[in-house]
Amino acid sequence: MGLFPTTTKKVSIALLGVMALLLPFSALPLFGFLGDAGWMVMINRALIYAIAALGLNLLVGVAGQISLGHAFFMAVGAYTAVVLGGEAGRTVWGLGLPIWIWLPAAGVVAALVGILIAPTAVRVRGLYLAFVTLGLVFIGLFLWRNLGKVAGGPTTGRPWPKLEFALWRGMDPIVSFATDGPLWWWLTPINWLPWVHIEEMSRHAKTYFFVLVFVIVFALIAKNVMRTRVGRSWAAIRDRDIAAEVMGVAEAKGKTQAFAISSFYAGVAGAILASVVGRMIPESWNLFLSIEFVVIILIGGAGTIAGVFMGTFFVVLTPRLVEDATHWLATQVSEDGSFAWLGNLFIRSSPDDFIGIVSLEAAGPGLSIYQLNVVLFGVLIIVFLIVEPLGIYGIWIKVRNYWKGWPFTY
Amino acid sequence: MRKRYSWLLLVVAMALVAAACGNGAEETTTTAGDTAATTTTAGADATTTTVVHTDDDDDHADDMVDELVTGEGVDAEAKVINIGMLADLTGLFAPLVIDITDAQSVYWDILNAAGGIDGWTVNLIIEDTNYNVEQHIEKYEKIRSQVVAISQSTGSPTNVAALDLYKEDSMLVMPLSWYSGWAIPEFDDGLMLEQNSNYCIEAMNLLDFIDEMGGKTIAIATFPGDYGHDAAAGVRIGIEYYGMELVYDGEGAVIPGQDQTPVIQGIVASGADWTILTTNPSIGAEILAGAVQAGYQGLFTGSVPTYNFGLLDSAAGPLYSAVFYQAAYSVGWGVDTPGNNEMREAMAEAFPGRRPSDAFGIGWNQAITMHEVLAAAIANGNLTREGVVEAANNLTDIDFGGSAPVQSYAGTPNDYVQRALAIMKPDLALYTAAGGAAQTLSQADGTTGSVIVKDFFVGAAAAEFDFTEACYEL
Amino acid sequence: MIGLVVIAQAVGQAPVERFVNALGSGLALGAIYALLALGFVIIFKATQVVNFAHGGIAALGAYLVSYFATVSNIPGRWMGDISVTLQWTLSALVALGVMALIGIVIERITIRPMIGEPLFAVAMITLGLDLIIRTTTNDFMNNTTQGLGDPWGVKVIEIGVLRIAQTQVVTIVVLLVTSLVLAWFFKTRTGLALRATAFDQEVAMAQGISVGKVFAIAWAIGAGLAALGGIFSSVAPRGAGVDPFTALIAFRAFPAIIIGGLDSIKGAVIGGLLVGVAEVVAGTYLGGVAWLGIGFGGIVPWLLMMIVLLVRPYGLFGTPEIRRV
Repeated sequence: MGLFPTTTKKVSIALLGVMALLLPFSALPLFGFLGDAGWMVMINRALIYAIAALGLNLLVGVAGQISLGHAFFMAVGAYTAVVLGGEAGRTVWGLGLPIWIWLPAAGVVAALVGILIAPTAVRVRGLYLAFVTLGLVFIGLFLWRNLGKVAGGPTTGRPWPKLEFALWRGMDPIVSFATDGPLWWWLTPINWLPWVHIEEMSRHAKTYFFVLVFVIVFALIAKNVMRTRVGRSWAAIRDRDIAAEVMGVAEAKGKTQAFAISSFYAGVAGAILASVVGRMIPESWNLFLSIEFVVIILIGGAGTIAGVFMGTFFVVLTPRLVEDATHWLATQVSEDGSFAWLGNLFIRSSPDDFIGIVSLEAAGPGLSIYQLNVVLFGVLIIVFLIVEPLGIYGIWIKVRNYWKGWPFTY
Repeated sequence: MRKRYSWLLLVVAMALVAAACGNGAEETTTTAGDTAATTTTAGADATTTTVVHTDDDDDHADDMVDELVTGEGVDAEAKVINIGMLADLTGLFAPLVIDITDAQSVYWDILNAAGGIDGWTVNLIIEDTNYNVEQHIEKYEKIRSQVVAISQSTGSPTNVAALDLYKEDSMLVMPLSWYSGWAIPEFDDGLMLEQNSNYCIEAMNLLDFIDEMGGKTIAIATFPGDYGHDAAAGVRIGIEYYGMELVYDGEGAVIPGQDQTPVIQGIVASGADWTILTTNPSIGAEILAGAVQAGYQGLFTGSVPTYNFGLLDSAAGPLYSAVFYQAAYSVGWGVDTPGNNEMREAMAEAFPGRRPSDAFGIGWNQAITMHEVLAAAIANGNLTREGVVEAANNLTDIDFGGSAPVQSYAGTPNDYVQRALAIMKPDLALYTAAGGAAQTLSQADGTTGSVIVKDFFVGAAAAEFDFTEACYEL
Repeated sequence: MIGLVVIAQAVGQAPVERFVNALGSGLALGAIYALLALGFVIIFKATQVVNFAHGGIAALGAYLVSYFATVSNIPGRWMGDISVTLQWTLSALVALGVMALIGIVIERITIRPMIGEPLFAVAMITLGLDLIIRTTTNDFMNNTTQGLGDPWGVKVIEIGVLRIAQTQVVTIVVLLVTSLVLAWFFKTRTGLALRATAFDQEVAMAQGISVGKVFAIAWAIGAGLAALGGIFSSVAPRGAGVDPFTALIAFRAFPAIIIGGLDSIKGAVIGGLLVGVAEVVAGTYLGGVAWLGIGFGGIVPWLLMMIVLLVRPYGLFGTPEIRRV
C-alpha cells in the first residue's frame, strides 16, 4: 500500500501543501490574517509541538506506552543544543557549534537518555508507567534547577542559539531563519508570484518554513515507521503484549526502540522550541507541558498522524480563538453593537446587571474575561471528548463516511 | 454562590460562531477611551503649548502645522495613543496583577474623561500572559505593531526572554519586577522603565532598619532566581556594611511546591535576631508560622512581594501582626497622603464594592509615570517609540503625591536608581476594627492594616552603594 | 563516608529532638498525602478514572470551608451559642457534604457518558475539569489567600522534646478516623458493592448491583476526601489559607498513590505516611548537604517511588494485572 493510496488523498495532500506554502504570505483567501506576526508565532509553536507530538504518538498511540515524561526528553534535547550551540558565559557552558551539529545531537542525546530509561520503563505497565515518567519530569526539574552551568539561573534561564546555518563556529551564517529579510540572497531578484513576497520575508515566515520541513520529514518517517516491521511489532505489543511475545516479538526491545525514537522526536522539538522562543527557564519543562502533549494525542485521536496535527492545532490555537471570540463579544457589549444581546446573556456590564457570570473588569464580580477563556478551553476539551471519545480524528472519520455515502446515508 | 455554569455550554456554541465572525484581518482592540476622544478637544487646546493641533474639521487638517512626529501605535487622525499591558491575569501572580491592571485602567479612564493628555486619548490594550514565557512572547508579537509603549509587563523571566524583541522595536516597557538589572542601560538599552527601589537596594535598606532596631544576627531564606539572588546580594552587602553576622544562609533554598521543613529548621537552629524572607506570601507564611511554632524567637521582615495583607485574615495573621515588618515601595491603601487619597477616591468610585488592596497603588503609580512619559514625548514633539524612550530617559522628579518616593530616570544608573524604601507594620487590630476582609473601597476608613513605621528613607549602606551593575547577573 | 560526616554535622546538638520533630512533622504531612491518596484511589478503584482534577477539588473544598466558616457562618448562625471548635467543625462538615454533592454532579455530567471509553480519554476529561474548577475557585477566592478560620490557629502541643502543631495532631487523628470509617464502610453492603464493581463491572451488574450508584458514591467519597486533604494543607503550618497554589498539593501526593498501589486503600494510607516522613526526614538531614543540590528533599518521594516500582511493579499493595494472551 502506498503512502497516500487514493486519488482523493493525493489531491487533498497536494492542496494542503499549497496552502501551507501560501500561509505565511497572508496569501490564503479568507485566512490571510494567519500571516500576521501574532498568529505566525502561534502556528510555529503548533508546528514545533507537532514534531514532539508525532514522537509521543509513536510511543503512546502505536506502542501503547503511556508517557507523561515528554517534557523531560524535550528538556534533554534543548539543553544538549544549548551546551553545544550556545555561547559560553561566566556562569554557563557553551561550545558555540553550528546548528548542523547541535540539532541532530539534541535528538541523539535525548534518544540515548530514552534508551537509558527504558529498562525501568519496561518493568512497569500502564498507569504505573505514566507515573514513573511523570517522576522523570520532577527529577528533571530538580536537575535543571541545580545544573546552572547547563540551564542558566533558576527562573531566568539562558539564551539559546538561533536558527542560523553557519559552517563552523565564529563564521557568518549562510542562512538565517531568525532575522527578517530574504530567505536566501540568491533568491532575491526573482519575484516568483505577485502576491508572494519571497524577497522580504519576516523571520516568523522563515522559521515557519524551517519547521515545516522538519514536520513533513518527521511525519513521513513516523508514517513509514508505523508501516514497517518495527512499527507493526509495537502495535502488537500495544494490543496484547504476551501474544506478541509468543509470536516472537521481543517486547523489551520493542519498547526500548519506541522510547528511543519518541525521545529523539522530543529532543529535536525541544531544541527547536527553545531556539525559537530564544530563552527558556528551567521551570518551563514541567508537568503541564507533558500533559499538553498527552491532550494533543488524545484530542486528536491516538495512533494517527492526521490526528496528531488536528490535536496540535486544537490545543495551541483554540485558546486564541476563544480569546478573540470573547473579546469580540465584550466589545459588542461595551459598544452596544448589533450582537450586544448575545454578549449580554452572560456578560455583566454594570453592577446592577444581575444576569451574567462574566465581568468586563479583570477582577470584580464574576469571572473575568481572561478567566472565562481558560474555563472555555476546559469546557471545549470535555465536550469534544464526550461527543467523540476517539478525538477529532473520530469526528473527521464520521464526517468523511457521511459524505462518502451521500446522498444514501442513513 | 454563583453557580450558573450551565451557561457555559451555550457559551461554547456562541464562542465558535463568534470566532468565525470575529477574526477578520484586523484585530479589534479595547476601546475604553474612544468615546472620550471626540469631546475633549476644547479642553486640550487651552493647555497646548508646543504642539499645534489639527482641528476636528477634516478639510483643514492638511493645512494645519503639526509638529508632532508619530509612529506605530499612535493614531494621529483620531488622536489616540495605544499602550499595551502584558499582564498575568490567570497565572501565579494574578492576585497582585489583577489589582494593578484595574488601577491602571481606572487611571487612564479618568484621564481620558478629563481630556486626555493634551487632547490625546490613551487606549489600553490588555493581554493575559499567564506568567508563561512562551505566552508572553506570543502576546507581545500580537500587540507589538499596535502599541507605542507597554505600561506594565509582569515578571522577570518573561521580560528577560522578550528583551531582544523590545530592543528591535525600541519599545519602552514598565516591568512589574524589581530586578536590579533593569536600571542598567547596558543591559536593557534604557528600555525597561523600572519603578521603585530594586530587590538589592531594598535589602540594604531593610538591614539599615534592622541595625536601627538593634539586630545583630541575620537569617535569610529566598526563592531561587533573580528575585531571591538579587535580594540576597543586597543582604550580603548590608551585612558587611553594618558589621552583622549571617547565621543562616537559605539563599535559593525555598523551592515553591516543596516541603519547607529544612528551611524552617535552619532558621530555628540559627536563632537569628532577624529573618529576611524573599518569597511569595503563601510560602512566606508557611515558613514564618512554621518557625514560630518550632520555637523561633526572632523577628521577620522581607522583600515587598513576600507580604500581602490577605495574610491577616489567616491563622498566621496574629503572628504577622506581632513579628513581621513589611518593606514598602509605595504606601498602603489606608495611608493618608495626597497622592494616595486621590487614588482611593478614584478607585472607590470605579469599584465601590471591591476589597481594598495595596496593589492598586503600584498600578496607579505606574500609570502616573507612563502619563509623564507620554506628556513629555508630546511636549518634545516626538511621539514615536524612539521619542517615547528618549522622553522617559530624561524624566526627573516624578511626584506621586507622597505615596511613593520621587523618581527620576536621567543621568547614570548611580544617579537615578531609586534608593528609598518605607517600612510598614501589619496591625491586625486596626485591620479588624475597619472590618477586616469585609471592607469595601467605598468605606472611608478602609485599611489593609499596614501602618508606617518608618517613612521613605535611604539607609547609609544604600546611600553609599555605588550602583554601576546588576547585583545578580543573569 | 563524606555523606556520613556531613549528616553527623547537620544533626548538631540535639539529635533525638531533631529526629522526633522531623518524624512528627513528616507523619502530619504524610497524613495529608494519605487523605488525598485515599480519595484518588477510591475513585480509581471503583470507576477506573485517573482523576487529574483532584487538586482542584481539594482547593474548592478548602475554599468552601473558608466560605462557610468565616464569611457566611453556616450552620453556626442557626445554632445559637456553641463553641468555636464545634462551629468550625460543623462548617467543615457542611463543606464536605457540598463537596460530596459536587463529586456526584461531576460524575453524572462528565464521567457517566464516558463509561467504557479508553482510560486516558476519561483522564483528559478530568484535566478539562481541573481547568474549570481551578479557575472558578480562584475567582471565588478573589485570587488571594483565604484563611480557613480554624480554631487551632498556630497553637502548639509540646510532648517531651516533640513540638507539634495542634492542626498536625488533628490531621493525623482525622486520617485515623477516616481510615477506620472506610474500613467499616467496605464491609457494609454498599461497600461490598463498590468492591465488586471494582473487581468487575459487568459481573457486578449481573449480580444486581447498580453500577451507576456505585460510581456516584465513589465520586462523592473521593471528592470529600480530596477536600479533607485540601483543608489540612491550607491550615498552619502548611499554609496560611487556601490560595491558587493549594491545588498543586495533589501532584505531591502522586508518589504516595503509586508507592501504595493504585488500587489499594491500605496502600494509600501507608504510602502517604511513608512519603511524608521520607520527604521531611530527607529534607531535614540532606537539605544542608551542598553536593546534593538545593531542593533534594522534594524529589525523594519520586526516587522512592521509582525504587519501589523496580522491586514491585504494582506498588507495595497494588493488584498485579492479570495478563492473558
